[in-house]
Amino acid sequence: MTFAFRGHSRLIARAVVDAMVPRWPDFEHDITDEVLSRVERLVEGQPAAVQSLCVAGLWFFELGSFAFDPRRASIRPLTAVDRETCERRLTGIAHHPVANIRKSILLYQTFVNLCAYDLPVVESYLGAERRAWREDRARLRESLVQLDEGRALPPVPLPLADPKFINPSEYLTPGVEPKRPAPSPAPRRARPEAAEAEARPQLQSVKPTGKPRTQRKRSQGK
Amino acid sequence: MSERVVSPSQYEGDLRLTCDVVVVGSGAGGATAAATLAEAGLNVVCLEEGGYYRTADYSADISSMLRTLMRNGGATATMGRAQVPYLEGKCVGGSTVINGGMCWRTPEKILHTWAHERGLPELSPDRLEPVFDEVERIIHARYQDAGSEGENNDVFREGATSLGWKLSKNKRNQVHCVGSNDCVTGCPSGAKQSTIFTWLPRFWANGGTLYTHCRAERLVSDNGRVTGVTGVIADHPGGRRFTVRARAVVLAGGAVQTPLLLLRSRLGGACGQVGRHFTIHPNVKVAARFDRPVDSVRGAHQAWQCVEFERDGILMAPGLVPVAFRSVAFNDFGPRLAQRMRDHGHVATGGILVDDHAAGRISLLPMGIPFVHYEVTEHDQERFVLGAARLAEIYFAAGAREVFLPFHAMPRLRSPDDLPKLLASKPRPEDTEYFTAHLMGSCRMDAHPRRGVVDPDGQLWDAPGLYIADASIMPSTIGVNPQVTIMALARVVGMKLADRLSARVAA
Repeated sequence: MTFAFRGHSRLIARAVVDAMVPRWPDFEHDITDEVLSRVERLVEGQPAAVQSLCVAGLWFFELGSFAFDPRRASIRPLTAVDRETCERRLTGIAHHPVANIRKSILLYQTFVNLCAYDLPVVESYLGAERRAWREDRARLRESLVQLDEGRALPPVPLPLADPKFINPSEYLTPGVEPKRPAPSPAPRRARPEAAEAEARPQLQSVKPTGKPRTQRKRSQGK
Repeated sequence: MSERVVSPSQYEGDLRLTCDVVVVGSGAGGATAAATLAEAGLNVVCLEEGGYYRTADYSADISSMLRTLMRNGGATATMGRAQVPYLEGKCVGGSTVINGGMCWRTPEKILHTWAHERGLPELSPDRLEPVFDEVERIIHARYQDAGSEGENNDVFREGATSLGWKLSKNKRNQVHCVGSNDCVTGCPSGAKQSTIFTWLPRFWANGGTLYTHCRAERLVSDNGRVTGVTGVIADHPGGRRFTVRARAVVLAGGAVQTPLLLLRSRLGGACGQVGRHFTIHPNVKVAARFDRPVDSVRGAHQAWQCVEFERDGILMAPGLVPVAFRSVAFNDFGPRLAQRMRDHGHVATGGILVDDHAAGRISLLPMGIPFVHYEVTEHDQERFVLGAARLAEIYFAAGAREVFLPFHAMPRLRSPDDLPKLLASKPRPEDTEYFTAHLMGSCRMDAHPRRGVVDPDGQLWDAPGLYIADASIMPSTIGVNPQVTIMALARVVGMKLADRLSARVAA
């Protein structure tokens, strides 16, 4: 079942997320709605009891958070005050001396931070672009593995970042390419485990009694 | 090699199977036991509650990966004065897909205790050494490739070295880790050798079949002997169910899910030990800001541990995680956190692990609601504070300008001069932010039926035919990252069960 904050709960959730998302003077993106949507998906992954507690927590923030504003500026509900007041109130809860009051906001704080700082625009703003780095690494490893496949392998492969292939000081440099060694006269040898697997017959000893559909094929990822 | 994985979309209606052994779980324990039994020529079925995701499926979207790979999106916590969030993998490969890949053998002093105090000579260091050797070979436990560690590891090593403290290089189950820094949400380069790359191919190659989305609900018994497991097909509409009948059932759902399944099935209760002696090997995070840049994107999760205070049960280690996870370590939000996160390229992160003495308990509340209770003891808390002070010393020795702590009352140190204040402040457990992924105990192994849930073969003392091969059977906490210990125990349980079922264990 798809979970979503509904009705007034959604307005409260949006106010909470809006107060918690990162803002910088030169950061122009409004990420509140995207983060809210991601937070909803995380709440959806919780057991029903926790989902109910999440909604109950929102109402606690809505009606009770005024008591945690150090300025005591207003007793209006959270959704009726400006973002600055909202943020002050939630900070008052998050840093309250009583642990159980602090804990009431911890789940939202964690969810919002994880969802916000993972956004490509935020990563890019912070100069921490993970997506490009992941792709770069996958490419490098693939190149190294291909080189490794050309070598005679012991039962447990040796480290590939052999200075023969890649300079250790450049290992974490984006876009680095391994050096290609001259073709080796050594014959290629399959990994013992793979050879063993190939030699064994594929037993079809267990079959579901349900009606089978077409067999799905998956590629062997590295 | 054929990956013998069957998902619910490949068949219609309910699933009914008969086999020699059914293994519940495909993580460190389940995959190892399943492979061991299949290699012995037995007809083995492995059931996994989550789905099957490979390297290409691991996206950079952290919130999506948390939902996909972890139970409750990684947001589960123990209850007590302090709530300790913990992670459990819920996918093929289990927690080996989402761990940092640290490979530590069980410390010898722990194995001696198990052998002598719990009557388990099979788990003595001499007897387990060849098992550890084999496990490490199969999972490719090795040191990080030169140059791939990254600056987060470097500053930790520099600080500890300048203090003259003993460092230990981590072996990790990886083949050519290229410093992607995304271990926790599924290795994007395929370097980390989760059970998907190690034990499960051996299982498949020997005729084993794995069924995904099978959530075990109850164990089936006939005349006092456990003969199967039944449950629901998860995340698929239609209320479909599965039942697997077998000569033996092996549980490997982890230290939380295994006792819950026993309690739901009303099994193993004779000793009154199910769910007890649960330990979590908790940790706390520390962050340090430097004037010089510290790369927060590139490098290995953890290449070193400082073992100077190992005798006191304190381990310290760097811990490189993606920026989104770092944001959680500061325990703040909004503009204040945004200001700190702007400096992320000058921040190093690490953690302290304490060999806990607390004994938590897992139980079922009315309506079958799981309850995981754990209290951090005063002694453990003292060591957390001491460990945080020592880790701060490491970072100050490496040139840190300020150190951020997980204690509400004292969130920041500005210089080594603040360390005495930290030690004197005595933060309470409820004012401390903990975290863990090392859940152990809860169905411990013991040679005496009144003191343990399973016998030295891993079989329940009062439920013949039912075995456990996961972290729950650890007789005590081990004080190090547990995956190698889990695999070694599962290998032992698997070999003994294979012998018992009159099969030959492949050399």
